[in-house]
Amino acid sequence: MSGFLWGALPYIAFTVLIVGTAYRYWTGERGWTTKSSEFLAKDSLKVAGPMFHLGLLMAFGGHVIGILVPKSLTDGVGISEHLYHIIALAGGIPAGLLFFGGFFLLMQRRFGNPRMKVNTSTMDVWLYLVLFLTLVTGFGGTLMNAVGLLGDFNYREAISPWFRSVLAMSPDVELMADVPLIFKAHMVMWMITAIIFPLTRLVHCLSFPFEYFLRNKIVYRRK
Amino acid sequence: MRSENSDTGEEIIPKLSILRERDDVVELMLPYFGNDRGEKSMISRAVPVKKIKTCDGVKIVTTVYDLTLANYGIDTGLGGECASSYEDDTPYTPRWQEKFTGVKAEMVIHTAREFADNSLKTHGRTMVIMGGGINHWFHADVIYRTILNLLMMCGCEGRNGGSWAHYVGQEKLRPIEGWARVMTGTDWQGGAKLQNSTSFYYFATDQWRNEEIDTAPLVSPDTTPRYRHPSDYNIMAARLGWLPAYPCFNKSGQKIFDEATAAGFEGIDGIRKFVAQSLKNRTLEFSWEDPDAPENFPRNLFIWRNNLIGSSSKGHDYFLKYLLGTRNSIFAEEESVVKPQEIKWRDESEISGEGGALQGKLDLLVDLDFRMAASALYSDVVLPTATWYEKDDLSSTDMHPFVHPFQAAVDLIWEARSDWDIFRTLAKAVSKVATEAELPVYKDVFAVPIQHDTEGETAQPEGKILDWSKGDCEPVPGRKTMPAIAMIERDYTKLYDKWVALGPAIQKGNGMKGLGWASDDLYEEIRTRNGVVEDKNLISYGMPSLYTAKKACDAVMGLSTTTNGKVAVRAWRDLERKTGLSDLTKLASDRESERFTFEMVAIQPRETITSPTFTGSNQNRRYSPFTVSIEQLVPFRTVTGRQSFYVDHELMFEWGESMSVYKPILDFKPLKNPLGQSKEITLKFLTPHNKWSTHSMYFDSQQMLTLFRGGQTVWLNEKDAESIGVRDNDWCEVYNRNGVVISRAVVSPRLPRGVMFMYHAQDRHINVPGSKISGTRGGTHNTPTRIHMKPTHMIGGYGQLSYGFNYYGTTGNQRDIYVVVRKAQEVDWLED
Amino acid sequence: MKIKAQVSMVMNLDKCIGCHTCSITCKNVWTNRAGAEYMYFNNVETKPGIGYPKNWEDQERWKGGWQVEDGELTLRSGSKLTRMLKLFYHPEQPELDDYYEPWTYDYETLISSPRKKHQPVARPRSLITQQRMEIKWGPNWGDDLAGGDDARADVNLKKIGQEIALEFSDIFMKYLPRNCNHCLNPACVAACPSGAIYKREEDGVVLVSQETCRGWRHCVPACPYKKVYYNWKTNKAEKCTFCYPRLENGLPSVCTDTCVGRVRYMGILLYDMDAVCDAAKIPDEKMIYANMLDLVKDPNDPAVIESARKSGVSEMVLKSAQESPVYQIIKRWKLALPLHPEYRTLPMVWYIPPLSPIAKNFEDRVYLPKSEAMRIPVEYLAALFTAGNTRIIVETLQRLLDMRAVMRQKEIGETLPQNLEFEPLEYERMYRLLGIAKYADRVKLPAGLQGKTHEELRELQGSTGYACPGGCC
Repeated sequence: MSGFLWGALPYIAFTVLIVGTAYRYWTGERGWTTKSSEFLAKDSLKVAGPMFHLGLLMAFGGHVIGILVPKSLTDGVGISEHLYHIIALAGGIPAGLLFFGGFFLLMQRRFGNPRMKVNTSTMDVWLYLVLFLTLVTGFGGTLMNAVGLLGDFNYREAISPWFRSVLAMSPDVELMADVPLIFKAHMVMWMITAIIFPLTRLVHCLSFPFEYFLRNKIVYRRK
Repeated sequence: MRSENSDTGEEIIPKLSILRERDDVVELMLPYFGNDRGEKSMISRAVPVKKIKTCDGVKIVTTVYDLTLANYGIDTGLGGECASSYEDDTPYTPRWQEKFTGVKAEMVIHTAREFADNSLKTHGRTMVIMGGGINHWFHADVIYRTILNLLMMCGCEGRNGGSWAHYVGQEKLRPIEGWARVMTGTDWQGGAKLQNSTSFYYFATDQWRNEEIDTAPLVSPDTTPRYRHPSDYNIMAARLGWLPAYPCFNKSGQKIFDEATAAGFEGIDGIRKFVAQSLKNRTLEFSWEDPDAPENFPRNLFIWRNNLIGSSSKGHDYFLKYLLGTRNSIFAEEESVVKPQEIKWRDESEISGEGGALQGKLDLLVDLDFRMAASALYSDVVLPTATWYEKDDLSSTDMHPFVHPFQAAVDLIWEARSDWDIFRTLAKAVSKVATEAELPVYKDVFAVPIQHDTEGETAQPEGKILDWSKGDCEPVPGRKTMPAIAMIERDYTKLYDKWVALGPAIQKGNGMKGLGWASDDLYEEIRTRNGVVEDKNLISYGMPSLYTAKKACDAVMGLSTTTNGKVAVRAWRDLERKTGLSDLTKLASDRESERFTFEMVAIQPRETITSPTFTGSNQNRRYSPFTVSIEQLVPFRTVTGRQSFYVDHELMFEWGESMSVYKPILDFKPLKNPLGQSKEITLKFLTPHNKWSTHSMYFDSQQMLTLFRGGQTVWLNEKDAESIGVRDNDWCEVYNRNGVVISRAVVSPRLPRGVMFMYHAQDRHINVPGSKISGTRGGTHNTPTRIHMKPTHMIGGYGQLSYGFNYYGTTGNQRDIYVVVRKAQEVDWLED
Repeated sequence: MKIKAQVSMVMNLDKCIGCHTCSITCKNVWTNRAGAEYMYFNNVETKPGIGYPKNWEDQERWKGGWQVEDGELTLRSGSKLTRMLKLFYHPEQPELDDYYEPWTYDYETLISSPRKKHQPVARPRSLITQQRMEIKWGPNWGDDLAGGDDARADVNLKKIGQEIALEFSDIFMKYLPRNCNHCLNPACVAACPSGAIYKREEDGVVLVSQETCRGWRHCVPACPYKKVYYNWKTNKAEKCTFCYPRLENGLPSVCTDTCVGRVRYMGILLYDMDAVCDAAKIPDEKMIYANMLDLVKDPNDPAVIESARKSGVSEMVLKSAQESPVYQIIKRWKLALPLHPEYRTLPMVWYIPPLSPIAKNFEDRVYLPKSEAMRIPVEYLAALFTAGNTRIIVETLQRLLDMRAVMRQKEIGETLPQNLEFEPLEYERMYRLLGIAKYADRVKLPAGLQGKTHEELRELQGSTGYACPGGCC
């Protein structure tokens, strides 16, 4: 089982993510949109939208550092384990609160306002569930770990190296063996997220308009 | 009309005024209606006269011009109550009118001078557009004459770019000579029962039981009215042959025939004698003398091409109460301010039982419709019909000289059929049942009123009323002291046979407006063009087919002056013969070879050919009415052959309207006791034309409703709204004795104070809740209104006042109405 | 000088009767589908009034259009960076209730209702939630001055500083039909982060690519006229397309074609693309109209023709520009004005301002009064069309009055007014184009805007649906 979960599923997830998204972009650009619902419910988005996205960006940044930067590096520059954790929590808790809090407000908005129904497909509902589980396992796990409920588990010694080994095309399944259940669940959740990614509105993450800064104000095109 | 002595040919220059040659000055008392409520008075004016010796002694005469100036109060140096300047507050100066209209005297003077100045400079190209905005008022006829006087004095009538442009919904079909024959079935046999609907519905919906008009305050101060209740005048009109009245008699036509035959009266002359005798000794009565007797009820009603229940029913709730016998919102008490003399009044208890009027007079209401609006909702049977883009038909108006086609752009869906096909199918079904039931040929005896453009116009000379029922004279049928009596044989087993063909009567000739011409060659041409009826079992075998709407259109256009050049030339020739003029045919001879067909107008709508059926020439110019009279000297169809400032009928004198005069709007209280449960305001109730619909058509489409407030609205002034605590979009109840409307308010500074607009027509099937006042659903824009009949519209048998189909009076006016408005206490959607 | 062609429209407000045919025909063709049903690419507003969406002209609130900062044009809604920050929530975005919640009726109730005590009615339900709805606002709620207080909230009334009470005695009213102006300096194009909105080189039509649009919805608040809309179903932006499939075939837009009053004109203007930015960024907003006139070039000027040919303007388009009714009206006769030039987008739909009845309190004794004597305050028209410059309004209205005077003189020989701007014959031409306004005179569009070569067209002949398997056409 663990062989599949930690040795095969990640690749399935990445493949579906990349190929699926490319396919969707190629054939279904018509439907590629942020699905913004501010038009339907503006006031309730005022706090929830920025809050959620800010928390997301912060959490994403934190994940990048926490997973891709090896422990050996931080040790090498003199950041102790303890200091690292303080920094991680100092960034991570607010990120998580914003992320989670924003998510909660968004959920309340989406399922509490009858106008939102027309912006909520079945896929959106599943996405909410998947994101919720991803969030709650991640944030929950982090909190539990911070208060010591998970023993002296250090994800930088298990999950991060495992992830890097997957990227290196040489998955070290063993590393995941003693990871607490909640974090294992978190792993499964990101993979599920990646698999459904091309089928959901999440594709809009890839459309951040970087080119806008380099572009002329007025765009002309030939017919 | 030439100003020459017809014996000697000597030119006659008629005097406009005899002021300078007068023999004497006479005091003329004219009625004045502009005092405060109820107070009538006479004004004394001075008129110059000449004395003429006649075989009846010396008579004094004056000119209409002198009378008119005296009427207006212009000071001609003769004394009397006239105005020395426009500043005098004397009827009818600019200063005098300020108190009624709020328009400053200076503005009136300025406008009048511009009007006249422009008319001088352009030789009469000043125009007044009027129509529904005026003729929805009771005294519209007087107002029309006032404006027409203005146009006549400035020489604007009959001038392109000037004159009176009549914009009102009485659309006449331009190819009228063909249409009239086909639609009345007179291509087979004579005598159609055509009726002015105002009178018909007034009696059928028992609005006479709840009449608020007492004629006494409304007539000239120097006389007492012949009748106090308006319905009495209408019954007199039926009796004297002034107006049609259907249902006709209190016995069926067949019964009259049988009784006449049994009594030894033979042939049509015998029947006429019998009817005259029976009416005189009252063994036969007109139906309207007892509208609540079941034998006088109209029983079957077909609604077609209109929305009678939801739109045009003035006194909508009376239609519901008496015609249909269903839930309505009329306030309970029936109180006619005066009782009619000529109607048998049956108490409410009498008419509420089984089969009584209160159960609903109609047995069957059939609606040909494509919308589930009020007419369809309230009908017994709805026959789904085609819309404009699903059928073939013709369209034209009397205002613009073009003929357009309707054409099917898409096929019909479900079970819908075109009107033409529906009626043909019904004809077939009726014939089938008639044959199975072995119905004998039905001999229908009925009355036909004295017609305009016939000799009948001289039937009752000098405008004197001679009422045979009061012994003033004998009842003489035909164009005399009573209506003509006609008899038609109706063979219902052959209805279909006749329906699908153009009948042989056309071969004998056709005509319109007093002119006639040969039409046998036209009949042959239509036979060739349309093909013939091929069923040997039909009596119409071999006759020109009218099976499809397209064929009917082609037949209609082939028979009409405006769409077939050679018919126009014939008509002009007949007019030449009648008038002695010699150069009329040239108005159409350049188009003599044209014959419109459906195919032609489908490619491009055509401009009509100039014809004597219409008063104006559109030969190489746009159409303006009366140009033929002004330019070609064809007489106007009036008593004098000229346009009139003065009408001398006895009934006009009774109402003080021999000349145009100021008459205030009717001023009845909206109801006896307002409810007074909350803040209320009384407002004038007007029903101008809707912007979001063509009458009720299109109103209920989602796109049109979205373009404004999404349902019924009533408009009122901001300050009026404030006084009753109503804000924009609040629900309001609008009521008077005729019923209750519940609608959302539009609050605007665009209206003056004291007025409410409920645009017509918004029907009652979209977003209309119930009202606590009536306990039922709110009504239509015609719920607060009711029919007001004016006796001067009923005059007949006298010149231009004679009856003609779709021509003149009784108008369906309904704006002399007040309503009480309050904020709705509760909005109940009545889902039960 | 870089001369390009722009399809342009003129609307003669002197003849608009507010029938809304243009709105209905446009809606039936383009926006009768879910997600777009609340959109009116073309709508008609009664002025004074707050219009659709509510109070769209209040740029203090909506921050649409451009402004000049340190001599440069920037979008009022902020810099590119600010725009990025507003990705997740845009404070100036209009929402559904600023337009209206679209509804329909339960018509089936009328047909399928069982026997009941009371007559059935069709009641409204929301097209968004499908639930029962009370109708509280619509796209034309203030028609004909319905709702007086809303009419008084018109920002143009506030701008003119006078006390306009809008009482019955001094009431005035006009209709303003509006669609996308296909501006020369479109704010919507500048605001779109993904570059999905573009202006076509060949004819200046501004379109939203439904492929490229990512639903950032920045175009919606950026347009000061609020003529880009968000489709709540496809979650992309949509707008008036000037009916470009018809334009490409020499046909006018549906609104122009179906206008009952014949108030619309369409044709080609040649303009100098290089001068657009400078024209828009002149600090004094009252000068923008004059700049716009300067941008529009004489299609008969040889230098202009040469430059146009160099820029790829085809011969047919050039010919069209030379026959252009909109050029006549806008540049030659100076009868048409841009709507709110102070937004600096350089709109290419122009309006002939309306004459109006004489104010009641004016005692002029002439047939044709001065414009100041008319009911609609000149200041109000100036707030709409000239950034407050009343002199231009008076001059423009005077030209219309002069036309009437000349035509009257022709009929009845009254004396001509002094100091006429044009020759009498010119006024007769004006009358023919504005008064008679025949279809063929009002619309002059080249049919060859496809910009394809003969070979390309040959390839395409009869190929729709057959060529390009996989559907890439």
